[in-house]
Amino acid sequence: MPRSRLTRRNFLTTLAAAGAVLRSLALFPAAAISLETLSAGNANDESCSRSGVVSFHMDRPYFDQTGISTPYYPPSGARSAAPVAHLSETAFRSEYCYL
Amino acid sequence: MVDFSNQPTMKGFFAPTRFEADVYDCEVTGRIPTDINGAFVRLGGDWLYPSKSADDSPFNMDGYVSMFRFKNGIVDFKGRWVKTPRYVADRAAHKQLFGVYRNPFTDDPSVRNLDRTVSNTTPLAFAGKLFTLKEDSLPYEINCNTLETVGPWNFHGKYKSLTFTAHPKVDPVTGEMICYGYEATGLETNDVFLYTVNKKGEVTREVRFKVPYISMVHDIGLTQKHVIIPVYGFVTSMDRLKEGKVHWGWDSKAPSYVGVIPRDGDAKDIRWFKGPERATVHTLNARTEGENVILEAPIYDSNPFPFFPPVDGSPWDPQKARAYIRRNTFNLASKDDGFTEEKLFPMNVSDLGRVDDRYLSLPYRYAFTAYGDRDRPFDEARAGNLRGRVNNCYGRFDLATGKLNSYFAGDTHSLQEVCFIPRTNSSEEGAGYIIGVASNYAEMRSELIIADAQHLEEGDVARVILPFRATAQVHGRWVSENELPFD
Repeated sequence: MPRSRLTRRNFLTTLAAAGAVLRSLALFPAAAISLETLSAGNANDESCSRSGVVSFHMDRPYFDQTGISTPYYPPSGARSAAPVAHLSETAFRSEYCYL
Repeated sequence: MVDFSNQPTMKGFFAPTRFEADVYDCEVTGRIPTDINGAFVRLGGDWLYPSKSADDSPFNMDGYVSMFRFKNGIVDFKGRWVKTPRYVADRAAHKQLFGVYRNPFTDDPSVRNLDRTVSNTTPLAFAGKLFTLKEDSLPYEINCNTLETVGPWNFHGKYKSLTFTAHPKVDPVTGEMICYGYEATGLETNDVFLYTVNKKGEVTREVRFKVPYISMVHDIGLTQKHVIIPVYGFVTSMDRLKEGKVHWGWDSKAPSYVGVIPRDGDAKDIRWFKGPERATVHTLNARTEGENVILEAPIYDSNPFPFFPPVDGSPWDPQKARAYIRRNTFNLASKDDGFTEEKLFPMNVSDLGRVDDRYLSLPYRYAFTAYGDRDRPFDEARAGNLRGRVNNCYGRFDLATGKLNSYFAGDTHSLQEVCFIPRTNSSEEGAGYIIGVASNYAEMRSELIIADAQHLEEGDVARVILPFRATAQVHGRWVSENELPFD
């Protein structure tokens, strides 16, 4: 994987845009892969098997175009930063200027 | 009844911890280098009881000192509250008796005459003693083996300032400590007392001078010939305190002053240079080259702290709260009060930077600090989204070549202040280890990182795993085996 950033978010955003275009053109029905199917840790083996398997590891997408492999399911983390993620920069830095 | 449930910032990994801890023979991944013996001592804060005000500063948290003790490849962890008079009074009352940051007018009347410091900023090992420091009071001596609090220390009565900086400098050539106190004669006074203390802990020199305006003089630069004193933007007044506000506000119109005083000079010898709005909270290193006095530091464009809000009522600007490694040059032969500024690296960094302390006040090459590399992965699914707020790398910044070498802590981690440990006393500059604590948001625990400072890209050589979140530090210091009377 090259060092240039292709994150989960970038990948899904790009794929969603591309999928919308392709669907609207109705040229490639197989491209209509739902984002739910492709979200982290939820790649569905059955529905994706003909279209390849997308997994995410270290926030980067990995694509198995054979559709044979089992997607990587990351272990569930504590997500212990999530409860403060919604805070504005001012509110967050008001308590954690030195994170 | 203690209740933090209405504190929106104190959730998840960031909830108060509030316990004292001993972990013997800590879990380690990798192998602890056998040439590391001593202790990594950390000081920070935690809320024993919630603050009385939502507008308070996190710098008002109760002091908490912790230590990773390294001995023959084994690491023990210990954490203790700094048991100041304030801590003792609050514990006895089962509630927060003290008001907002450095404002005694907001305290409960029952504690009006108590030392209200929380002693929560920097650990110091000097003259065979371990101290905790905060710039609003004297140092507190700490037992280096038990981490229990002994009490305040005034250098055998010869240290007359009422306050003591969190950033004294120890000259590696002479072993002397250069230290100071601002607001030295009391609250809202513009007096600074500057001291030299010999390596036995005896005060050998005192200089008293006044600053252009009362401000946070948090750190200084030290060269072999001069002391550099930054004064910038944070302002205070007795009226402000009587209104119940935290000690500092930010005045963007207040000029930045930088004082340069010869180490053997008196108050009349100090020269004040003047510059634009900046905040030099911490310094890296300084040196004197002929007529030039040079300071290198991670310097902010403006106010880094939203809890010390602008006095004109404008909102705090996070875009200007970014620190860049800069070089300020003060020409003593110049006829005006200006100085030059250079930005040495393009990216913003943590302003908690360090150098190889054997080169403090001397020409040097390397600076170390944490920074956030947004090209590195962050596993939001496991850690939670911090929206690019983490410092995920330690960098070795080569000031001679401009090269950056990086250590990446992992995709669920954020790094606290880095510290450098020389491999031996005679090793070349930068030969040794960097050490620092990482917060692992996926595993809800703290990990002490040890990496070879000359091979940062290779990752850590060892991690000490704590089975819990360690109280966050502000500063940490490495103390070698022979500096303190360790058991």
